[in-house]
Amino acid sequence: MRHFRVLRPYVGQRVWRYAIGILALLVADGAQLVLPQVLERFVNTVESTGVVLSDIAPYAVALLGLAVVVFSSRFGWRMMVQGASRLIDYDLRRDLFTQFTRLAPNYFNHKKTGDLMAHATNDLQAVRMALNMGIVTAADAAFLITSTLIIMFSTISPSLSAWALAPLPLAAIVTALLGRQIHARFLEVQNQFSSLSDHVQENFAGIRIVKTFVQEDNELARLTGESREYFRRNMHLVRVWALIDPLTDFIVGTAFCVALAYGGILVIRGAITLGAFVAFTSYLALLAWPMQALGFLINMIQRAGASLERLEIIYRETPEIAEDPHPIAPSGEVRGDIEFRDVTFAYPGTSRQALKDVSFRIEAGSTVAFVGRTGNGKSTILNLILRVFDPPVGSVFLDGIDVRKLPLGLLRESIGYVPPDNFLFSETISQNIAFGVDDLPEERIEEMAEIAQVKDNILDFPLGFHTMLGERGVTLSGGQKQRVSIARALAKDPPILILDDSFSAVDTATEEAILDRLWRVREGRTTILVAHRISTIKRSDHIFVVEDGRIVEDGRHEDLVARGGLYASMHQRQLLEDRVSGSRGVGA
Amino acid sequence: MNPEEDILGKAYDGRLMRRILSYAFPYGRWILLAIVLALFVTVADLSRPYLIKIAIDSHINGLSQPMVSYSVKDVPRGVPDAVIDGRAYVRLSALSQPPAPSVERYTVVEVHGHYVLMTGQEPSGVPRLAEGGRAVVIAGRTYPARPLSAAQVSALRTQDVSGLETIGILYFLALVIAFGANYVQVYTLQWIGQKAIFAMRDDVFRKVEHMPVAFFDKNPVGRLVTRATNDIEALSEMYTDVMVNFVKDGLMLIGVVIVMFQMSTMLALYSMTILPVVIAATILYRSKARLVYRNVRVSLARINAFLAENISGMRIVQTFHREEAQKRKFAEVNGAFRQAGMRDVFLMAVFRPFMDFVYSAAVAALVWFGGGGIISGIVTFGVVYAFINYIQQLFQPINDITQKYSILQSAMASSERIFMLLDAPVTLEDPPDPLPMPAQRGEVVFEHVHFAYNPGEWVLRDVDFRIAPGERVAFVGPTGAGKTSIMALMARFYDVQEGAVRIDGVDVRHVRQAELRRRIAVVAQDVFVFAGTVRQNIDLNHDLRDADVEAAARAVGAHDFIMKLPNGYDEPVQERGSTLSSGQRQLLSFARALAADPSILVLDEATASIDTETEQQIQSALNTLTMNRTTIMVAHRLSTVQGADRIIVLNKGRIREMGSHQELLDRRGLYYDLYRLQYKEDFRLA
Repeated sequence: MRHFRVLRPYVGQRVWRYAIGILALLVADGAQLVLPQVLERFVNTVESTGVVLSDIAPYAVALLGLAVVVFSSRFGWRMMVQGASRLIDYDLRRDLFTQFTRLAPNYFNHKKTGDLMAHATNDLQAVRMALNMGIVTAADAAFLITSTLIIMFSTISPSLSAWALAPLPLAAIVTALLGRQIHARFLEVQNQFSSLSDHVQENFAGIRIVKTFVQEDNELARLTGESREYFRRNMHLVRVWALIDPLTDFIVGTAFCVALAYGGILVIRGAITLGAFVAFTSYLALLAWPMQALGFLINMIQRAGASLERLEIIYRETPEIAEDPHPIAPSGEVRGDIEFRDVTFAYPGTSRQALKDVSFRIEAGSTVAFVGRTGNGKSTILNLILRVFDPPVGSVFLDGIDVRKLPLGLLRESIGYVPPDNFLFSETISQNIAFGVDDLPEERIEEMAEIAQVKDNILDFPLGFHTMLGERGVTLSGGQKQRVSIARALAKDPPILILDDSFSAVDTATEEAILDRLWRVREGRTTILVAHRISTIKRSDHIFVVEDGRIVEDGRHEDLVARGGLYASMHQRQLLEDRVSGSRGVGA
Repeated sequence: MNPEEDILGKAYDGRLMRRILSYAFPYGRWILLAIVLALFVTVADLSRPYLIKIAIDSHINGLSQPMVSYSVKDVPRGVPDAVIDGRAYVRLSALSQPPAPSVERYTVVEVHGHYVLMTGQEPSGVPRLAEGGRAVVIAGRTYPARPLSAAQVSALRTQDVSGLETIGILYFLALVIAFGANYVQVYTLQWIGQKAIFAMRDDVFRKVEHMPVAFFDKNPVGRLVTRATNDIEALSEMYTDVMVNFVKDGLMLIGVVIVMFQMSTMLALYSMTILPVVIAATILYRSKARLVYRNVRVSLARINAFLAENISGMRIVQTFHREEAQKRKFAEVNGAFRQAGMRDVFLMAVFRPFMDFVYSAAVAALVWFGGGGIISGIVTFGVVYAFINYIQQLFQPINDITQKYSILQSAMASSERIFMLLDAPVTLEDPPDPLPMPAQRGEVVFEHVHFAYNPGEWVLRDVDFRIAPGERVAFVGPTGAGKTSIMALMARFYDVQEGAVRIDGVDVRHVRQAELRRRIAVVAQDVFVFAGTVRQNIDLNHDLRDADVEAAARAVGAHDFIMKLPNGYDEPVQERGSTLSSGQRQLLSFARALAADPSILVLDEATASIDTETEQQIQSALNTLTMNRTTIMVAHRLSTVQGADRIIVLNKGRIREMGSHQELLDRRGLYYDLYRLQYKEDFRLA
């Protein structure tokens, strides 16, 4: 229950809606409580002798009047309370997404996207149910049960009430207990459904293999097995599920049975009137639902509690990377001077040092490159500059200010980043290129695409720059994605541009063309390259060779070649290969 | 989401419905049982208000019923009586045969708390006592009467008390029957539904599994998976939620109407007037709900899509510092969902209370018309009371059907898509009279083959070659040259447009696909591990003896690592999350190929990603494997094909060059160029 405290501010914001809604609910309940009274008087009137038609008119009119009151107040509470639950649902989801945007990239490496999405849909739905039907049911049950009990005991017959009401708490217990069982078994069904889906997915995706090895029948048997287990679990659920309605009907029915036999005898004995008997059964009918609902309510609240617990964990997660409470902004524009001072770094949760005593300086406006084998620390250096991971305090500096002291937004806005994985959004190509900038004019978008050598490819699509990407649109090739991704980073016109292995899917001729344009566009601004091909980086002002978390060599291309170290041997190999192939071209 | 999923669909389509239901037909006897049980439930449920009516009219109000009197010893057997002043009084309603009208009637009349036994039948009117309780005056007529003591009234009441007790027991019995029958009925129908769904899912599996490869080129896997899972689930919901209630609801509807008319034609007719209102409201609701639910579903799908993308792309969002911009975009999709939800709230806020209102209005009308009927003596109070209950039972099924509407609707759309899949023509079938595969030799012949995946876009043009049994041949060429297509045609994944493919002298179209494919073993770079044990993965349904499986594993050097697994050959493995390294998977695939003992072995880039440690092992395994077997290699890395007897160079669907490595190099043609380019491609620092 304590997890419900998360909801306090959200519900607080909608307190008037709830107040009005619950008031309307009570009006509806009150009108319903009056109804048996009207019936009682009607019965006693019609049963007495010498009645004329005009005597019963008031009762018909009163019933109709009550119906109007019930209708409007029910409309009222539904609009108020259910509306509030929708509004809160929106607020909770908004804040959940906001929290996602605050959490460090590393957080998402450890969480499954599907799980995080489930929080935003399933968990929020459970909470919404509790905020909507839960609150209504609670208010409804509390009011109806107490007032009905008072009326029954005080105005009709205490002994009849006691006997007839005795079975009803059972209805609450049964719905609560069976409801829990049903939920547990339902989860088993759901798990099997995902397992079935996984198997189907795997099988259909590998159908060519299945056919190659003539495994159709084998695989069919396996799928059928999964399907049969799904059937079994469904029936396991049905065994309990089919019980709940008939059983609660039965329990409520026994209450009526007692009311009928014992109440009837009381009428015969003259202890109560026939009207009171009719009123009593009406009250009983009124009570039956809230009693069953109590059982649902308990389960609903438990489920919402569990969901809130999961949500609370996310809401309370402290971002690994956060802006300094007293950030230092540089005076004037960011120049792009980057310095590493004795940086030793291990990724959180690991002991291996990814960087060891790395020191270097990138002068503002220069073009530098990092080369080295995968897993030797190149990407780590970039991660620390971008604060995807936090470097130790006082080790990485931008324009002389510790990156951890800089306003986080300013740091990242100053850097144009081309990631190695080329993630694009399911929007238009135009929107993707303009992703980092507000209101980028069309000409600029096209210009960026041109520099990245992807404009012609884009114009080949019928919708050109307005072509949708992703599932609902076209799928770009790896090379096209990389080039759109380059255009996206360039569009920011950033003081610092980082290209992290951004040409791996681009052929050498195109790479050359892009680089040619880049040197010109980036004239006088900091550009950092990470690449495997030496041809990509050879023209850089300064090259750092990274090996086993250290910078083992650095200098200009010519100097490094002259030095005859690791870089030189890499270069030698490339020259050798070039001699064999004789010319540049597209690979086989 | 593709347009197919957006189909709104009709809520009901007789043709589709018949086909959906046909899956339940095999369980006809059980359906019959369910219907009989539903009948029990209906009768039991309907009997409850009726029992209350009897209780009120015959017992609670029993005292006002006319009686006849007997001498104590003449009372018919089994008829309840009350003895007053030495005479037995019996209610007319208790007698099986009413006595002649000439026999004197007696009635108990209550006047201001005093009870008198009046001679004669009470007409309607206000009674008044006269002659000190010795007579009653009603509507101007005087009837003889005698005052009754409290004990005498109580004696007259004895049978009412015992009658009520009997009714209580009957009522309880009705509850028990309804409970038992209801449970068994729901369970049975659920069982039938689940069986039907199981059969349907199996049909989909069977269909998809036996579709030719070309079918999968045109239908994305995701869509097919949706057919077999979510679409069938929508049908399952229809079976469990709609069907289960349908029988009961239908019977209840009919039952209520019958009972109503039987009790009072007048009140029944009055009650029926609400039906047009209910049906009109329901139809209106349906048309609105359809759009509203669609909006809710679509907007929720957008939220899911947005979240999925932004969570996996959060790194980009953050490194581009676009958190605020993405929040604004999310506010849009989130807001659309809220909007759709609000419409749903409004719709339900009007419809649900309105249905309750119609019910209350009907009760008010019953009070008015029924009350008039009671006053004029046309109906009894018990009947009016029963009607109030029955009207409620009339609403239940109608409400049910309305609520299940959206389920029915999506079930129809889903079933349409499922049946479309089930009816898709199989474009590549086994011949009706398949030839037997001749004895194993391993000859492959392509005779002037022309082939296109899509009409007009030729992938292979006039490809013509013969691979002799036992020969080692490599296919090389740039991406898109047609290497993969040649392999696919050999296994008859597609049919050629012109020319023919012959294996061991027989056209592949003239033999059974399964038999053909058993002749060919494929060892690919990405080894696919079937879920099952290591043994099953080597055996692959050939029913080999354990010793043969082990021999195959030993021959390729896989035995050692298999024995190191916790369960040896019985170690469970699966495609994903497998504990096997890529080298081990490769050895496993070799053992698999060897165990199958194919006449043709296809090595598809088989050794591309092997680390040096296992490379030695793999090489010797390969030698074992290719011994005395036609071996066809597809490779991008030219270094792996140099040992082939013959190299076939493809480009743009045509055979360009053919010959040994050295011959081709000497020719300085396409192969020579490819060879030179290869080194450029290979240079990677990684």
